[in-house]
Amino acid sequence: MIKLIQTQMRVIGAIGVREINAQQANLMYGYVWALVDAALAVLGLLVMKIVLRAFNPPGLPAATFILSGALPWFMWMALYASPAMSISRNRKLLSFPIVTELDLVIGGSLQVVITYTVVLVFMTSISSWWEVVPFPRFPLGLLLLLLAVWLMGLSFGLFLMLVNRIYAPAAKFIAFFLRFALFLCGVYIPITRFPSYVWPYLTWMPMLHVEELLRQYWFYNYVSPVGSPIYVLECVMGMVAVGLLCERYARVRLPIP
Amino acid sequence: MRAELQNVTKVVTVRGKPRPLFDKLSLPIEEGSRIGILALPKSGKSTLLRLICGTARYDGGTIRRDMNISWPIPLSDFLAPHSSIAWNIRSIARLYGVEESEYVRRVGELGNITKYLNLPLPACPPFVRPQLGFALGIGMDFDLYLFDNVCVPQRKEFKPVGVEHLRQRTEGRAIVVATSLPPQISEICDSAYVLENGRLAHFPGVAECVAYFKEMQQAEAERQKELQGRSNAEDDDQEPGAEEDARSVDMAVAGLSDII
Repeated sequence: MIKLIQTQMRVIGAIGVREINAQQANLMYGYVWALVDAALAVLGLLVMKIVLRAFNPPGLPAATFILSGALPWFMWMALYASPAMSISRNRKLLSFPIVTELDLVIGGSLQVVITYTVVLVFMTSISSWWEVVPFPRFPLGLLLLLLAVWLMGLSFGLFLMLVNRIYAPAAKFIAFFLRFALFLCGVYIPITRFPSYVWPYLTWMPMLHVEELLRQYWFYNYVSPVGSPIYVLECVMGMVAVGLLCERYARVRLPIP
Repeated sequence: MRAELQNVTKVVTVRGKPRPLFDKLSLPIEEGSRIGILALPKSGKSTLLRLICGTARYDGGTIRRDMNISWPIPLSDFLAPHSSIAWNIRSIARLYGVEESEYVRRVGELGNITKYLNLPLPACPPFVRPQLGFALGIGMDFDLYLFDNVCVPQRKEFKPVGVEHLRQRTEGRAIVVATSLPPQISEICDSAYVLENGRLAHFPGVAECVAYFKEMQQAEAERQKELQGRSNAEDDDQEPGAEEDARSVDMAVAGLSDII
């Protein structure tokens, strides 16, 4: 059993390296452009936040505040799109007896997590130096939250992959609804800026808890009124279970489109 | 160590209708055995190899695998076109946990492609891809090697060297060759089967198997010729308008299959 797990870990690692190498491979400096893409995705929000200075909780540095929430959010968005993409990109690898669809999915997500974590560390280091923000209050908590984002994004992606195989245009509607979530999950506007009577309608979203806890673990002077680590843990466990069931169902019952 | 297929059944869907591809197919593979399987085109050779190595699903029966089994060789679809050949070889080495530099050197020598290692695939001559696919497979240590249609790339300059490498690398290990080309099994295999109507028929000698398969090929060729003649005669009998109708139906079917 341990040997089997070691083999699958090795396969996932190899697929992750292959995915990193495949990013922007047709351009000179290949993977660097994947990092630039991730940075550019958040730069627009950062500029808006700095220029408008709106919805900012008092006493919090604007740039570090938006970066600490937006990059994990974009990582989650890239993660839920990654399972279907990594399977279609690497399906030829399924000719190898030791490679499974789940290996492709996890290997592909590894590339996304590494890319966004590198960009997060790089950009928040610069913004912290610029805004004189001290080192994060609870780094282990931040790492665990990034792990939660990884698992939730991946699981949601597996669910979407199944939906997509059953009815392909469904993905368009899901993307439409998720655009609203950017503003409702506390990425740009913290929950404290919403009237308190709205909170019960928003706090079911696990990413809202993740965003609130990220800020709480990062800044010394931010206490989230709603963030619950237990709720995040429950959501991660539930979503992983559902995601794995969806993956199994898609693999067994529905052929790769 | 052995691998075994017992009463395996597999159903495939052809034009929306289920059709049995394998019907209670059995195949024992002992350690060191060299098995040749002859089959007509489109009769399920590649699927059978994928069943043996475990990358295809089946509908009934049991498959036991107590040995380390290769992928169907030569396989080269997975190569990343933007990366160098050496990088592609290292990528497979990483997948199988093989020491990278030694495997790159070995594959380069086995495939006679050492001077192309640092080039991306599109910049290499066309013979590099099949030779690389061959070398990637036999360069790895397996207990059972599977070969799909051809064992060694057919390029004149490479074939004798390739056959020699194949003999050396597979000595004492099992091989299964599934092909529609009898010469591919005559030299290498010591037992042979014919895949016919979803089942494997065993022959004690390779020569008998090849003779039987050639008869089968001839009968199939005659059947095809007869079908062709019948369809031509039907076309001649048709009225001019009917021919146009038939063509438009064909075009509609082709268009529909494109959409599907």
